[in-house]
Amino acid sequence: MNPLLGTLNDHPLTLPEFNLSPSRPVSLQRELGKEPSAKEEAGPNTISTSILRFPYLSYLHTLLEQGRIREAHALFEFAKNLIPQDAKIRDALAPPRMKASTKKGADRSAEYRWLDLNSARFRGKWVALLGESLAASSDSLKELLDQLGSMQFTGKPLVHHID
Amino acid sequence: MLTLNGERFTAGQSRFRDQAPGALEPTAKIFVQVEFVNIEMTILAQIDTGAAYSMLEAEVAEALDILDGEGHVVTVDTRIATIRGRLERVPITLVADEGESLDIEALFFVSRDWTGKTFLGYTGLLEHIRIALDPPVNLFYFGQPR
Repeated sequence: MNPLLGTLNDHPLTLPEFNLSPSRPVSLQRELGKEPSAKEEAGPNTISTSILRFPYLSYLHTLLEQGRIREAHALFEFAKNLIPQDAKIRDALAPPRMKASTKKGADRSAEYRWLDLNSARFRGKWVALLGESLAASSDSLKELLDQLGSMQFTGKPLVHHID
Repeated sequence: MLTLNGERFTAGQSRFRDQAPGALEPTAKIFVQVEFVNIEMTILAQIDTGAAYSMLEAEVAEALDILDGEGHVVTVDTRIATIRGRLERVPITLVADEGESLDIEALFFVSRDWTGKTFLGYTGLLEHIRIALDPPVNLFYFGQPR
């Protein structure tokens, strides 16, 4: 079943024509299968008109706040032609760009050993470690990064906020 | 590389830490290494498949200069409080010890009011990649879907 059907029927602003009922001959499934377009012409009382009027943006916002991600994605895919191009919600729902990288991680066993042995003396601090050496520590990450900016390293330090 | 039914499933692997190093809170969790663009550091972030969103520790967000960004505003219920913040795209690298690392523009919830750590959550990150765990040997496998 299209998850979008439940999504629309669940909305408090859902119009009667969105409710699927056995007595209703129109196939909403078929209607929802067609992405709406702002240019679409439709009669005043058709399902297509209702689809155009549905408050997609506000309902997408509600879905995101409720963590109903699958439904948000489904609704966004369905109605993306009706969402303003500059709506920030587009960024939130667009698939992320990703690519493989040749960066290599470092074995951090030495840093972990340092943290296990020395954390009690640095509670609440940010520390930067390279191997078993403390490169810098500070009450704030900003200050720590300022300190690190004047140093040179072979490899990236592990930066950790000690609880 | 991890294969499934003879085909590549993930391309990178890293060793994860199953307890926050040096932390007073002793329960087991999964911490992996993450790097950010423009900041020469590696941090540990907690994998949390139960979290709706990835969360960025406020000071890290400040260092990345995205604490007062322009992302979509949402309110999120956390174990600490209900807080308001923004959803921001943050380029990160999941760092591999073997195989391929993964650069991804992950979606993070960013807020001055988030006093917790950095979490890698479901929406905008884990939902888009493949992951697998081998807990007896603390290995985290990851990669992009083919």
